[in-house]
Amino acid sequence: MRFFIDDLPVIFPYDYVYPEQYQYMCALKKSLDNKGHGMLEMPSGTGKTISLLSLIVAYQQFYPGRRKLVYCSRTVPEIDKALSELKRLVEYRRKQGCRDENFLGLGLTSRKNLCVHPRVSTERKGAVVDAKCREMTASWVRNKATTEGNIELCDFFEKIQTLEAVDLLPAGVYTLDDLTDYGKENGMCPYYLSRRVIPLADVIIYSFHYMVDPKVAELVSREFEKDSIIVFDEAHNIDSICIDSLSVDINERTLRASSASVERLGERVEEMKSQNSAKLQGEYDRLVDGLRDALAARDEDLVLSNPILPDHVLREAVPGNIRKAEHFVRFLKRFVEYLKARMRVMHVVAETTPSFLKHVRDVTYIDRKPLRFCAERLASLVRTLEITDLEEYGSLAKVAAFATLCATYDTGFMVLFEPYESDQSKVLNPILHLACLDAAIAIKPVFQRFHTVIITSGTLSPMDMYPRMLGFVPAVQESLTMTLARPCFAPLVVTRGGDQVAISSRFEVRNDPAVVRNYGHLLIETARVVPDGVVAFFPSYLYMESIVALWNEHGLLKDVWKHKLIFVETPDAAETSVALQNYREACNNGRGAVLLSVARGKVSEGIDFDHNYGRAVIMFGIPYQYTESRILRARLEFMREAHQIRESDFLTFDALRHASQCIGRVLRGKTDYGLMILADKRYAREDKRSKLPQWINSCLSKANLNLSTDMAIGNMRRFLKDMAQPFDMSQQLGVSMWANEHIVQHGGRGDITEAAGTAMDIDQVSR
Amino acid sequence: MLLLPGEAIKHSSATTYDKGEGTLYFTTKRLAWCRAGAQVAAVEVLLENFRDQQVSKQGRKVKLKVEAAAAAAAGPAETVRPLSYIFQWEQEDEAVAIAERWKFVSELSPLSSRSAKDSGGGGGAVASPAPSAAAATSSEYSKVRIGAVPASAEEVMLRQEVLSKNGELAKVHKSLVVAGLVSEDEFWSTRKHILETYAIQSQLRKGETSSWLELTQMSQETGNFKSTITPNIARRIFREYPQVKRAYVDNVPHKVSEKTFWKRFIASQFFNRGRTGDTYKGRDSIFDKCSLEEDAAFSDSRQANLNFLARLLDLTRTEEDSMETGNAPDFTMRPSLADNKLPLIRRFNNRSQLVLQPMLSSKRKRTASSDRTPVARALEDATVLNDLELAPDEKRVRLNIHDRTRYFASLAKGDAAAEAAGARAADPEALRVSYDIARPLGGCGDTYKTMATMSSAAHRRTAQMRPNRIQELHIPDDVSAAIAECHGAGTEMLRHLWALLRLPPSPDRRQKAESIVVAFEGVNKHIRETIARASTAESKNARLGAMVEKMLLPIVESLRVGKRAFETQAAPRPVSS
Repeated sequence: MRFFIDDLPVIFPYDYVYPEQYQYMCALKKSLDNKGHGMLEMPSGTGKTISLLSLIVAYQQFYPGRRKLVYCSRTVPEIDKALSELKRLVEYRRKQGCRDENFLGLGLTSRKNLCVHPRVSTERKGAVVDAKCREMTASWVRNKATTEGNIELCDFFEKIQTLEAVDLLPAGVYTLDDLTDYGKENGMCPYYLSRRVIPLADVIIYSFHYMVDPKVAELVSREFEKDSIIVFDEAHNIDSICIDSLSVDINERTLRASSASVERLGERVEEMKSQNSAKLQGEYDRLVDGLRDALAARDEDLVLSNPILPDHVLREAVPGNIRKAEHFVRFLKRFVEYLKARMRVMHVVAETTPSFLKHVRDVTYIDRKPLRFCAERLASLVRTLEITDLEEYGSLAKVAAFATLCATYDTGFMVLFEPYESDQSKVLNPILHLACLDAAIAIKPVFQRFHTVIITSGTLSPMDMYPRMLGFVPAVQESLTMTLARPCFAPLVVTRGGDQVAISSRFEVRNDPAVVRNYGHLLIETARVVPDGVVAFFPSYLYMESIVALWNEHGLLKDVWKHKLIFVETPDAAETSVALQNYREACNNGRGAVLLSVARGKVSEGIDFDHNYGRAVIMFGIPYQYTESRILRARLEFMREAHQIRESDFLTFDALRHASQCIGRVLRGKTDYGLMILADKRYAREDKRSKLPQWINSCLSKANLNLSTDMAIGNMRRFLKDMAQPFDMSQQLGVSMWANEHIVQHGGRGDITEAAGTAMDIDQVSR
Repeated sequence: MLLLPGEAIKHSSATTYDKGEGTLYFTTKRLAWCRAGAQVAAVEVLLENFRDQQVSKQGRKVKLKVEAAAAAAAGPAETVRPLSYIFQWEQEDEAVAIAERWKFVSELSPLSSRSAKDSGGGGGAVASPAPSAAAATSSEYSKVRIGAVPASAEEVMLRQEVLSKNGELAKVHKSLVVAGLVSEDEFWSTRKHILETYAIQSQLRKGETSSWLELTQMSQETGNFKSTITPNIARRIFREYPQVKRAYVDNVPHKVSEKTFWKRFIASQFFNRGRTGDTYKGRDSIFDKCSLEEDAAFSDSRQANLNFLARLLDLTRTEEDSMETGNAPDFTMRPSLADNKLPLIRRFNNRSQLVLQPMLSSKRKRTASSDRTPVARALEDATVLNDLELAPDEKRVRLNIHDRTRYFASLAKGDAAAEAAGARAADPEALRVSYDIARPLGGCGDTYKTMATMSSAAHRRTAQMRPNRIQELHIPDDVSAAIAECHGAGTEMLRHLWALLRLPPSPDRRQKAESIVVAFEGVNKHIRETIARASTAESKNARLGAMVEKMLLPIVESLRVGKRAFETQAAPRPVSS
């Protein structure tokens, strides 16, 4: 269908549009027009991605300037999905007569996911693929190959080098699979291909890290224009990603490996000195001129990743005492030894970065300035020494990153040393954490650099939290509710078991036999009543393990087995994927299955349980973070002081965004239906409930706020019976689904098929 | 013993049969017993005829009873009793005898489950033998040719089974075929689809039960437990715990006797029932090793199936997408190191996969050849919102009701209630319609709508006026059954007659048609009797006789028309015989 938003003709690849999709596009347009940041919450499963893409592509093609869209998502499957939606959209636009000349859309992911080299692509580990790839594509290897014969190069990469970026890829939309297929057919490396054509692409889809993580962002996101449109989809978790990208953990293994790497570096330096000291001298000269120049030529070769450094630092000359290679190696050695000494302490130490640096100087006489250059200097050295097998230097790079981060930021970070994993644990496992406490640090460059950054998700409530945490001012901020012709999802709060004992995952009572039993019965009854798939989420992995073991011991699971198969998430991604696949098969063939999984786990992020894959989701307890964690404590304190966010507010907000994320995964589209069961008495309280997204909250009736298991089961039965009735589409029309005439009714500009000849000139119109 | 071509002996053992000494052989083709010194088998059961086996109880003489189907299926009416043979092992040491017997039992038991044709009987997990994956394809009716004349033995059996399952059909069959109105083959010739459906349904296999194997334990007065392990249960144990199977092969009977083996197995299961990690209670050299091996197998073999993963579910791709970064998750988000519960969780996943296995492997075979399209389709499924698109015409499937009488009965009840409520509401409607008719120009322009209201109102009025509700007629049950029978028989015969008349005439067909027409007389007689019975029956309805006559009039008329049609066709060329 086609319609107008203000003067912008939008082509939407469906016959109808949901009202919230229309409103979403309006809000989005407003944000784009203002060149300001936006925050948009829209219920899960109502076609957020396609609305977003339809509007932005229309915007791109209609207005001059052709602002590039950079769409960031959480997981690779989500990137896949977004790409396939984009492909569908562009095809539909073609059919509707849009020219969309030279439209190019593609995704970006790691070598592991894209490699087509027959030997390298069979490797299972991403790091190994990277190393093997570099062995064949690094510039010094290729230089060497021109003189020596017997060096294997990657033909796929070589072919790319012979072509101009413009000639590499015909216009169109390429999913990750399309890209590998294209690479195979044409003998080109899809990974380098995609990196080469980024400057030409209209839409780029990749994961958050490529934008937020300074180590990667420097590599791929450097050249985007200021007026590019940056979208973070499923961004409810973006603060954790920002924090993660600047945090480093160092344990004893890392240090041991680093020592070994330093030794090896020293040997290589000596070796090179004896053979060819000109190279080292050349590096020295470049370093005098400043890092920026030294690294200018590194484009394809960028080796070890570095945290971001402010521009003025990069233009400075590298401090004299680490300019010479052998000096730098000795410097690294000293620093690693220092860290080793720190690891021998038997009590917890938490300090700020300046205090840590002071201690470093007192003990080792290492200054702050050389430490700041540590990571970049290491990268430069590795390149000069022509090292390809970077996996061996991973630990050392980690230590260097640690040093650079410590020396660069005074606030927003904490250095924490923990000799034991937890207070109860007796096994010595010392870890030195560098914990980033301020999510704004990583994302600030993004907000500053680009005019329009859109943060969107199904669950962003309460919405005032994000601007405060991330330090930005949204120009448009909107939370859309779900318009429904029939209540197609039913949130139920179960507060008591059949025996009227309150259920809760509160730490004090969670292992109480009555609670365990009541949770078990809830699962049994749900498995009995609900057809096909049931998904259950637990607040933490540890709790899931212990409760599953307890259920098994008490024989509760036997009753579940009678009705459905049981699958459980494990820490291993591959294993969990197999379990998920089998779970889906069981749902498809009518057997039915229960999937036990963890909120904040891998499954809760990015796997959909729509239609028969999830007729009910049970959230056992409230998924609070482990509040005794020192890092979390420090972060809470930081937020209280810097952003005036109360600790309990943040904890509840964080727990409920994950809970609503879990339960929101049941729906896709409005003909789908599902039960959302919140099993904890605390959900009945106003302070918890108010933090659920509005669209869920509005469907949570008073009657369903305080249910016991048997009442809940009765309600589920009724709900499922109602939903099983045939649902007439005509009831939806005009209420929860709009055709063009409804857009007109609501004050918009609908299709103008009569005037199509003149008005629907969608391709670039210069005004 | 003389062997058949291509035959090889798998096991042999000295046994007695029918009080004579001899040797029992299990070969690749048959189970045979030869009298001592003889070369020709005295007892011979081909494996495909093998039906079932039973073993004697512990402590008694060591015996094996084998049941076999008779070589050829005889007439459909009587089922042939299966042949049974009892072999006895007379070794001194009972354990040796049992071990010898076990060899045969274990070979025969998969055959017995294959021939157990109806595993859909429900019941507990232990009672019904789960069909093994290998046996899932073969079925009794897989090759039946339906509609052959004369019917094959399989088809006859199929018919019998259909009749025994479908009461309604059996009733019709009884009133038509058993009463001699229609011949057996004719009756079925118009009902081929029922047979075909049943034949297909009979090939459907019930999947494996998802419940865990529970070793039912009976506690005795002494406080001890007693468990029974039948070959079926043993097979399930072996499938669920491949390591136990290996241990069994390694240890029984030379290291430990079968009895001790199972005893230790159960004890080990019992002691470690709540086991989650590497901690064992009640140490047992065999089974502790087994569970260790098992844990290792679960954590190892998981890499194998990654190739079949749907792309959208592959979580490893995300993991490989970015560099490892950030602080490690706190200890609540990791598996606990102290007591490892992973084996239990892996066991669950593995168990569920095992249940799905037959389906998974067949599906994989299908998808292995074409790998590209499913990816695109899965992506489309995962992204397209179907309800936003114009709905294509709905596909409608005809409702197939087995027992129509019950459906109408429930409908009639509902009607009565609805009518009562509707009666009052109907009047204003009628008034409104008449008002509309009186002023036809009121709703001018919308003829279609007017027509629709008018006709619906008219329908409702006629429905109210006509006394066609069965209850109000007060027909006694036996009479109404007789009426239904008359209708059934009449239509059935007419169906055959018209089918014959439409086809080009041949002496064969004419003869058949004639016999049907002759049989009309039987129906007519039945009708007359029914009318007579109705008029004498005691009922609230005084005009019952006349009413029933009126009800049967259409069928009488149809029969007359049919007969005349036959006569006019037959007239030009009179039958010469």
